[in-house]
Amino acid sequence: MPVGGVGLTELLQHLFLGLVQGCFYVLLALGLSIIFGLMGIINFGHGVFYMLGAYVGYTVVALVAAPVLGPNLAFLVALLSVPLVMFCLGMVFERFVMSRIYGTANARFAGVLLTFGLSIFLPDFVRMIWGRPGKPSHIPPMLEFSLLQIGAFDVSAYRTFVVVVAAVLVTLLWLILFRTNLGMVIRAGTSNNTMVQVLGINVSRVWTQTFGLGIALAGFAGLMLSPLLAVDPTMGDLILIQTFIVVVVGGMGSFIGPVIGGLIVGQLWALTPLIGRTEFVVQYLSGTLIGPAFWEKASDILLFIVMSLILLLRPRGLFGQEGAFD
Amino acid sequence: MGPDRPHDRFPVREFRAWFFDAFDRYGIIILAGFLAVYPALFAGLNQSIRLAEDADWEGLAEALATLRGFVPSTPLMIQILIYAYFGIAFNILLGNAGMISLGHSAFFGVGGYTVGLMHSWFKPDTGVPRWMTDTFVRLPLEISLISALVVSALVALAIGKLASAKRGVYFAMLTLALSQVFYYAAQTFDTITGGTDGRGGLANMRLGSLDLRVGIMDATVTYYFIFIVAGIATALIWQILRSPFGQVLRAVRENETRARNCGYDTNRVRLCAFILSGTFSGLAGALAIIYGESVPIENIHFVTSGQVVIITLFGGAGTFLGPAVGSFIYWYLRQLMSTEFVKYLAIFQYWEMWVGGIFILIVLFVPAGILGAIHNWTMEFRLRRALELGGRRDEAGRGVTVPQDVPAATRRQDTDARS
Repeated sequence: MPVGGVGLTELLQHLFLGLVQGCFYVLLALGLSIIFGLMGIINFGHGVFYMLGAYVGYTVVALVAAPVLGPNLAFLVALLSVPLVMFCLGMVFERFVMSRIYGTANARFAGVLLTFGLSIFLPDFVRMIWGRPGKPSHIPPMLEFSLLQIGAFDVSAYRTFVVVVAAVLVTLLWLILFRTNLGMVIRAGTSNNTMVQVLGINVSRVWTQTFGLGIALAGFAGLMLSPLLAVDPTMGDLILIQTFIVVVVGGMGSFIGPVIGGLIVGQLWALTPLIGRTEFVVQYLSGTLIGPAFWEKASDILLFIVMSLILLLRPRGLFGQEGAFD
Repeated sequence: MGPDRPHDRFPVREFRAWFFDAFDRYGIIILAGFLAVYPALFAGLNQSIRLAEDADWEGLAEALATLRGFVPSTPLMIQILIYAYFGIAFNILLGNAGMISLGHSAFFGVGGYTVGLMHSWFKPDTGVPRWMTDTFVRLPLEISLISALVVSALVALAIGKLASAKRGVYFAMLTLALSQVFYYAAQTFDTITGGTDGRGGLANMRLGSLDLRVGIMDATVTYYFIFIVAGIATALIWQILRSPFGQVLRAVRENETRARNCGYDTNRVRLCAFILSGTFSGLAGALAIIYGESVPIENIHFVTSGQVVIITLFGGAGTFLGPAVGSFIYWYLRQLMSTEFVKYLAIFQYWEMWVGGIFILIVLFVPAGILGAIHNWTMEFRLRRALELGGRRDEAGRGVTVPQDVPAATRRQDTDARS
């Protein structure tokens, strides 16, 4: 049953791939947005922390756990240890670098510049430690099968696992933010930092923990994505910008914004190549600049167009809090 | 503080006062003079190496050759000049309007691609009308540089419309994201732009009006061409920033609400600043491709935006010439590390790690940048001196009122770090 020149199973497959991609965006955008919400700093180092997470995961799997435990258990060990390591690294960076600028004249600017400096520093640092070429990363054997296969529609177990884990993590994060004391302090600090301090709460510790939490999410996303792509020092560049797009589309200042934004952007990313195969494009646009070949690579450009439209029509994003950025 | 202290026998303090004053007043003239004669100096060094070799003074020749490793070559100086000017154009935003743009690679790249594409399109048998190619061939570089200005102004208008109403870090994020669309466009439409290989082989870079060939064949001519064009543009920026418009920009930076209450449409002021900065940056990008005679795709990648931010903050965003100092340090250090230092320690091949690390340290410990720190130091010195000479702090606590009989060199009342 073709849908305008595209087979149904193919469409389903792309919807599924979009969902998986969307899950990564959700994890990254949530981390970015809780850090922004509390500290007012956009973490330009989010992409490189994501990359570092993939490298830490590679090290844990290939060098530490796999020789002893075998690849399956090693992956589980990595699933637990990478967020922990990244949490600690994030806290160290916040405590020893970021915290020096709080209270200075242009703290938010300086925060952007510091995380930006880190995003320049880390890729070469990683190259120095792990070498210039990227590292291979494999899907653990226990998840290397298809749950369902109809024509082009192929639900791989690992990708399903990613979706499930992301759903669990989002739920967990929601519970942390809305059902624990730490979450209450984070939310209170987001709306009025001074007041929370006046109430006698150690805000600086909460900032450190929140930063660590955001970084842990980024690192975890890096670990989960690494078997699907290669581990590479530049893997964070593109996804950082895509995460920014998610944040603009979904809006900041709410929990649901980055989640819905991430899923939408994931679908856009996955469905764009299909446009090139619809009858309309094949029939009328072949041979022009926006012919079938263009749409294969057009995902990134289309995302920017959607972002620009959102900025023009609804500047705060779909679910954003009004005035969060003024 | 009396004259009985031994070091005051030589008038150290007088000398410092004089030196700071000279630095303020004549710094720019000395810098311009140095840049104007630089290729001659470098050629002189090369010539003396050759002479020493001819005369069989091997020791001297070797010493001079080692020295040459530490002296920036003319092509490197071209790069330094372009990024100095690019940083000054970028600093219209960062240093004056207080807007941190991480998307200036869009203008830099688009400016370069405009010149590059015009040179490869406006040829016989590419389908472009005959009269257009004829006009273009008469004045190739002039026409394409002006087109680069126009095109980058349009790009700045488009990005600025979307981003400049936003504030602070959100503005930074948006400019970064929006600028990348041009990178992906350059990558996607590779039949036009050459994709990741860049648009290469742009022969015939020629100033039609002077019948002057610039480009890779002659570094010195290219150097002087870029020096003059960038110098004129820098003087223009200087004039714009001194004008009432520049004052309004700084007013918006210092207190936007107050500026708005004074009747200024601050969003419009910010947009104007953005377009100005983008247009001048587009010219920088156009100049940047002349020597290489090709447009590398890196020019439009956000690494370039990062470089200009780093250069500006190294030198000092609060000063006009800060980016020039930053550009010199950045490119010179980069060259030294990758050619000289790396011979002794392999760790210097990871250039970005060093630059990122140094950048973090600068942001943490010298937030005013190098020139800004010198400026602050000068101001502190003058303030202290004015107090010693019987000045009185004014009510706002920002400056000092000094009796009229004090020498003029110390009578500066302005203690604001940004000049």
